[in-house]
Amino acid sequence: MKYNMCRPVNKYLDTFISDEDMAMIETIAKFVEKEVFPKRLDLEGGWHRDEKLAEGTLDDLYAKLVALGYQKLGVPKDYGGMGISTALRLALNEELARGDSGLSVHAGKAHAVLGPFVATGNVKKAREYADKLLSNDCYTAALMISEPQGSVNIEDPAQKGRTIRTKAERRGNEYVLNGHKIWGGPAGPAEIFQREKLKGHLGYSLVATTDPSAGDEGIAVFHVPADSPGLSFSNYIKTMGMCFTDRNCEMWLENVRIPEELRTGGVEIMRSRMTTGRLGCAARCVGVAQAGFEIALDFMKDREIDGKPVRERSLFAAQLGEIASEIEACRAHYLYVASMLDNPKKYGPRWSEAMIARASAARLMAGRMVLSTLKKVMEFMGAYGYSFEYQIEKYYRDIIILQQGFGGPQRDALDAIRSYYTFDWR
Amino acid sequence: MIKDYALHFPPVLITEEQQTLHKAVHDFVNREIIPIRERLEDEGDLQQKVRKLLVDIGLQRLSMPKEYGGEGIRGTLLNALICEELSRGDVGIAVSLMCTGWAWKPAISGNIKAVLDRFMPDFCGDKVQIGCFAMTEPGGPHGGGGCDIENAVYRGTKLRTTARFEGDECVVNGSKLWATNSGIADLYCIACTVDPKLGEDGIVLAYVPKKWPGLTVGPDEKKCGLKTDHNCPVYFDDLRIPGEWSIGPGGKAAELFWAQLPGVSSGAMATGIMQGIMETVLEYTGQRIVADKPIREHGGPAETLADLAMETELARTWYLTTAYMCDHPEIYGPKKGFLAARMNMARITSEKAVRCAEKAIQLMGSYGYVREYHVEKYWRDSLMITLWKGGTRLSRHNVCRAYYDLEI
Ligand SMILES: Cc1cc2nc3c(=O)[nH]c(=O)nc-3n(C[C@H](O)[C@H](O)[C@H](O)COP(=O)(O)OP(=O)(O)OC[C@H]3O[C@@H](n4cnc5c(N)ncnc54)[C@H](O)[C@@H]3O)c2cc1C
Ligand SMILES: Cc1cc2nc3c(=O)[nH]c(=O)nc-3n(C[C@H](O)[C@H](O)[C@H](O)COP(=O)(O)OP(=O)(O)OC[C@H]3O[C@@H](n4cnc5c(N)ncnc54)[C@H](O)[C@@H]3O)c2cc1C
Repeated sequence: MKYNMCRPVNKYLDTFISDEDMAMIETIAKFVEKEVFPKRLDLEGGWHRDEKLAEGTLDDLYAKLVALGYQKLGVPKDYGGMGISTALRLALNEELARGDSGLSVHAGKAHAVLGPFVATGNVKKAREYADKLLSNDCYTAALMISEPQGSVNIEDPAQKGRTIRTKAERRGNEYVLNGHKIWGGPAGPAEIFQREKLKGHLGYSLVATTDPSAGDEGIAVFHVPADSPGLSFSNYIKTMGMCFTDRNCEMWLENVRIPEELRTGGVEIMRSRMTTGRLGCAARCVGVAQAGFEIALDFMKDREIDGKPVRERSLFAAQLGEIASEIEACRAHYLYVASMLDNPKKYGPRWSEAMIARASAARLMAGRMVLSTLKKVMEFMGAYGYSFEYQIEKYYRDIIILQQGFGGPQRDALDAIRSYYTFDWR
Repeated sequence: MIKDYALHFPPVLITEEQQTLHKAVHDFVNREIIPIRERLEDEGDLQQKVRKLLVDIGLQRLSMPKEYGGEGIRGTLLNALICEELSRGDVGIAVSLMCTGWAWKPAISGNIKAVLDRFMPDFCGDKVQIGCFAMTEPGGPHGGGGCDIENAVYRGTKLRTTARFEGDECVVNGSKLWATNSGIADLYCIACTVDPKLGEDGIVLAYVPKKWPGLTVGPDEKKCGLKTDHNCPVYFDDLRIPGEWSIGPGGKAAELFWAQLPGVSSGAMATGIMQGIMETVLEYTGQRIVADKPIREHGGPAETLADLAMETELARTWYLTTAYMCDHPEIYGPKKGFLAARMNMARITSEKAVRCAEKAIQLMGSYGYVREYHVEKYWRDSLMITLWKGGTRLSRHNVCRAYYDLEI
């Protein structure tokens, strides 16, 4: 760590992060500098987008994280994992995103399917998936909320799930699912996830409705195993960022039969995703801004204006000072909200309007902050900022979806304000 | 209707004791300040009445040492919470109260017995007593305006108010400008120097009671806002005080001087202003109908309101976490390096208050521009927080200093 201020102990308030947790953060921060920094551009297959290179790099880095115990961290203590706090999880998301936000997102995917089983008290299934995550094998999984006709409406609490078109129909002790999903990633035929360093895809945590007219009551979340008969997929969609770290496609469900025990709750589980998902995005935005800021500090030390380093000129120092402040403020805020999440008795459950609001506000500002930071850094670096080699433009492309996913800034704003008064479009 | 929990979310990081006091101040502000906030800036006796109520609820003596009758409750976080709440009602009242504490800080931290014995009992009594910390000077061809004096780079060389020691007396000459509570203060703490060339080694902090021979004040400045905070020029003409009422030169004087600068409370005041704006504008936009429904139920205005909410919450997190760190030096070390940077960052959040006020005024249309609707006052007041103590530009420089050496 070149700058003392950028060391984890100076970044994470220790009321939110214990000493033990700090050690974990240090480990990941070192991992990022040693292993991820040199491979950042390879994660999208280099300038020529070489798919093999990208996939190989991602699998390799994830395997190294798993070897460091990363996959075990989020498994609850009752199931033999580390059961880490929300604050630590987010700090780790931030540190990984400082290397690559796509890698940071990818590294959290495997947990998408475990949480709902734990939350709904399905001990048998939770144990089955926890054991996989606790093994030394590498897994991935995905969250399927979005649909082609408009995802934000689905994520909009005021619309109470009435716009969900993926239907679940109960037949005996099974549900039959039909519908059309898009974007949730990584998705695709199960066998493509069986690779040298990836054991497999744990399945999709998928949002459907048993009855759109029933509103929130109709919302149902299912665990859909990756190899379920009746699933089919489109080719990958070509996105501007996270090109390989998050592979997105359309997914069709045609009479997919899901045993009743794989129904993992309803609206509360889905709304919890908004809270934790958006907060995760906030942390990653902070990590990326931090990376951009450090790149700028280095660059502006070595370039001069009339014989003096750029960063020692008042015009630039003032802007750097402001960037640093905004990064620190957004970090403090997500940690603060995380500490609220871990105290539901006092602040309410994660799916509550209040907690969705807090997380949404945290993401809204972190999203704006990271974009304005990277834009500034590009200005400071001139043509170099615009060049692939200098990383900034890739950070920029990748980060956009962290502002847009789970509903985007307009949804964040409205969800934030819903905790003050009722806002329902009527 | 504004949902109750949103406005009264229990802050993270505060103890039960702090929570109780916070609640008491919160209720006090709603009861005693909000209903008269519009008249407060023009009516001196109303201001005095509020100051007296602050004494009655124990805020004046709260942080004063126990041995003189104070409560001895010191702590950056509690102080900041009080600042937030008072500022929601009227930031000038908060500034005035805080500056009394500010003037006392060097004497308390440096344990200056002569000053404490002579003046402290009054400040712990039932009467309103006001302190003033006078640092800023008019400046001139040598520079030496507020920013220069507060600029760490100059290490005190820009001070022009002098202290001369004759026998056991200290003789002060010069003038100060802008200090909060000037003209109405009972006790001044004056930053001066035995010789500007000596820099930090020359710094002296001198305590002077009101109406002391050699002390005169000019007329009040006509400011655009923050009118419940009084500022006027203060002149010292061969003003003689017992030497034991001064700190320095040398010893801890410079340290105590610099310790005055970083401003968590400025962040808390900005937060209070934003919270006040939020509450006012939420209510107004909930009642005013445009295009067949309340303003705030239209998507666009709702997004703007969300911005205000977001900035308010962020500013609160920022001052609370920073204040918490200041209160735990055993973990976070002395207020140097990164902690100083964080405190400077708290200053920068004050700019958000100005922007929030502007947005709120826009949401309210012409009414936002009108005195009776309160928001324009928050706007006028908020501007000042970005200017004092060297202004947010110097704060930005100070932030950079935590990352790299910066000599501008
Ligand atoms: C790389 C990538 C990864 C993704 N990963 C996942 C994933 O893992 N799982 C998953 O389920 N989805 C995923 N998504 C999808 C993503 O969450 C959605 O694209 C996003 O929520 C926006 O939905 P939409 O594109 O359908 O836009 P729309 O719903 O059409 O909305 C577009 C814009 O219209 C406005 N808008 C529309 N409706 C509303 C409303 N009700 N309230 C406020 N504003 C509104 C907003 O400005 C919004 O940004 C991913 C997308 C990408 C590109
Ligand atoms: C209501 C009120 C209350 C106050 N309370 C107190 C108090 O209690 N005690 C006290 O001592 N003072 C107090 N002040 C004074 C206040 O702290 C100063 O006004 C403030 O520090 C700015 O100084 P100045 O106005 O002389 O600006 P100047 O020093 O003239 O600076 C003007 C501008 O120049 C720029 N600038 C300055 N230095 C630099 C630099 N190195 N690099 C780049 N740009 C620079 C900045 O943008 C700055 O804002 C108060 C003022 C007011 C109005």
